[in-house]
Amino acid sequence: MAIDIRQFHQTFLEESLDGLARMEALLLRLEQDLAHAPAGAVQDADPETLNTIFRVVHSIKGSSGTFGFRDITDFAHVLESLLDIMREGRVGVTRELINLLLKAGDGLRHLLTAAQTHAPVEEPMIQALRGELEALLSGGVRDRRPARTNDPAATGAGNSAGPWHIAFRPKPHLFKTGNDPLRILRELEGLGKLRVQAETDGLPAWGQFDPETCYLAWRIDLAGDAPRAAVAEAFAWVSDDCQLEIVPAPARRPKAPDPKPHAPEADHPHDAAEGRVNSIRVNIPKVDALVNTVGELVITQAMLGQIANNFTPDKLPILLTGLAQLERNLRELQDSVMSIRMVPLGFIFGRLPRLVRDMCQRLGKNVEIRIGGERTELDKTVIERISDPILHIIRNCMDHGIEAPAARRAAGKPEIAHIRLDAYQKGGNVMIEIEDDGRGLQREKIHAEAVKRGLIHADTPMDAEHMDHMIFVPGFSTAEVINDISGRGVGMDVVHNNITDLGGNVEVASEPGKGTRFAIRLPLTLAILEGLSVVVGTQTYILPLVSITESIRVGQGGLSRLPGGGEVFMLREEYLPLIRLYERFDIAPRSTNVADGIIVVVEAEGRRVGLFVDDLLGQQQVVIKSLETNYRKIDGIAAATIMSDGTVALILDVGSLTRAARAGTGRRFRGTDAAAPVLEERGAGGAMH
Amino acid sequence: MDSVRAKRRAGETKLVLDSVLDVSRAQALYRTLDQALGQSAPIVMDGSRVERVDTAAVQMLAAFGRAAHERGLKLKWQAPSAALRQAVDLLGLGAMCGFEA
Repeated sequence: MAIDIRQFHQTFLEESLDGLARMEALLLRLEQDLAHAPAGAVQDADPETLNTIFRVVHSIKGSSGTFGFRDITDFAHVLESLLDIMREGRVGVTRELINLLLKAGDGLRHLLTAAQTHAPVEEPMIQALRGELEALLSGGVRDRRPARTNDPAATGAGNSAGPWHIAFRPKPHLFKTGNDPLRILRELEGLGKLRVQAETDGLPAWGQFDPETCYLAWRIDLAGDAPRAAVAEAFAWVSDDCQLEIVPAPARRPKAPDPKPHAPEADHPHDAAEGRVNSIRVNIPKVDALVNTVGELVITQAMLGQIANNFTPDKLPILLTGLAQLERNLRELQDSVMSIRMVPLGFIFGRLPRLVRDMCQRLGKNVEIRIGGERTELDKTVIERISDPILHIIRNCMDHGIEAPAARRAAGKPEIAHIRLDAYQKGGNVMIEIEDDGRGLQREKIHAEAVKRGLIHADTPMDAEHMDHMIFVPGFSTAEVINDISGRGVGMDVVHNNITDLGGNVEVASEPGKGTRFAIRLPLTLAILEGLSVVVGTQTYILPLVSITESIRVGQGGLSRLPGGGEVFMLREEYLPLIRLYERFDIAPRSTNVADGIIVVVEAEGRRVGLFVDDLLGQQQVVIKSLETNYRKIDGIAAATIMSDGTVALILDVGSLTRAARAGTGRRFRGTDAAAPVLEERGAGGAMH
Repeated sequence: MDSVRAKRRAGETKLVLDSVLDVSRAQALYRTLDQALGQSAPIVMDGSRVERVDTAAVQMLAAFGRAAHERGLKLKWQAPSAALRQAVDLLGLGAMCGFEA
């Protein structure tokens, strides 16, 4: 039976990207070790680290060969050879080498991504990288290690010259390509004394022998000091038609475990390469939990069935117990299913050390990033969309928050700056904190800029908190005074909007000279919403709990009418716009007197408004059903949900309500875009799925 | 042209290898060698004329050597040429082909 191996491509690509992320993390760790080593010293790298990196590349090479991604195989092969002589200790680990390896990792990632998206490969970049790697391999870098007396490899020439150990495994079709291993061996013979050992295990029984198939492989020891390039040259014609390993010969390897032929274990999902996740790989325990719950559900169902079959009124208590159990099982099932969508934040965090490192080099700053909570999980969709905002905040910290080393010295601060990143779960939310110990937000400049842009009057006093929050105002943060990342076309307002779109919020706190701290709060999932149900007339609406700040009663006297027609009410010495939801949605309320109902104060995008409703019903979790998918988009309504009694309730879009109110058009939509058609579906139960 | 000629003599099969042994003639060589294995007589290989040989041919000689050994057939080389010897040695297949060390 023919197997279509294309079905494994995606898995291969994902695992390879995972592996590359792991390799990058390890390289950065090596670099850190290097930084702490005495100046100029060549690092005695941890063999296990190098082995792990080697295995990553080896596994990519092997799998890409299997799947026919030849350019990946070739590139990985060169990289692997270099790593091999590194773990042999023949090339010292230096900063430049780590740089090159990181770039090579990028190159490999580029090839993998190109294969994944069928995008064209940037040949010049790959060729240049390959050239650099090969130059190193053929002795471009001198071995800086002192000769070790017990290591014959280190004695002698001291560069990447022989003796060599070569493992040569031709592919079965080699003879048909017109290539002949004999010719290669003769060429090698010219480079030094050979000891050849044929591996004949592959030879079939005489009856099955095909004269034109190559069954043999060879292990070759080449004495002398031939440069690696010359050895590789001998195999140049067959490089596509064989597996080839050329390693320095003193085969007494530092107890390196043999490279595993299979992909690295997948128990590090948090190390994934990219925030972009097309599919989810689920940990086995999560699937087990799911299977368990379903098992229990089946038992409960059987039990209920039994009760129903010969039901007598005295069995009512058992029936109720059974139903309670059913409810519990279903809740567990819901939890288990939701947890499958949960992806660890490490998906994003894993990229940051590299980002910080590269920016350090570019900006001439010295920053250490400390990451915690990378195992904290968030819904896949949230993860995908929070990645850019986090990267942007970090870039901002690096660029503006953190001072140049000289400035830090002058300010009496340690030269090495720190960025702390932490994530943890808090109730139904995930908190992400990003903190730097830089100069803090420059409030005078913010104030000046705000005045210049006419956002505030020059003599308006502003408290620090308000001022800091100004960086999230659209069009503000791109100002060169606090943020010259302009040209990227994104500012802190985009960060803010992305986060609020996800149903979260972001706060900033800053202390001059000490640093800045961003706190992001995100909902665990986008599929379920913690909401407050409110009643207006005969309708029920859901308000997202995250946007509610408080609920108050206001007497009729507490209202003022503005000339434009809008209404405001006083809340602790601040006037807030009032939106009468019955007016907004054109429905009959129980009462039009605000004293008879309740005002729910909601906040979105830094704006607060009061929503007048008849009554509060209570807090509950609702499953979000898209209105857009099932009906059409309606201004002021974010989505819908189906309540426990089967009716449809609409989830209010607090953002659009507050925007409209603040624009002084709180009543603009009245009757124009009525949600009546949807509301008529109320009672139709499962009209939306 | 055949790459090998087989002669039956009393009590042994003698195979005379041709001057060129390579992959293009490998099928023919296989058939002759296969026949030789079918006889239950000791085999004498004459490799004196071999001038050019490639890996495919040597691999087959090795497989043949092993097959003969498995069948309990005696295999003896007669005056293998330097070219053949060299090729067999270089490929690390001397013992398997039945060459004396």
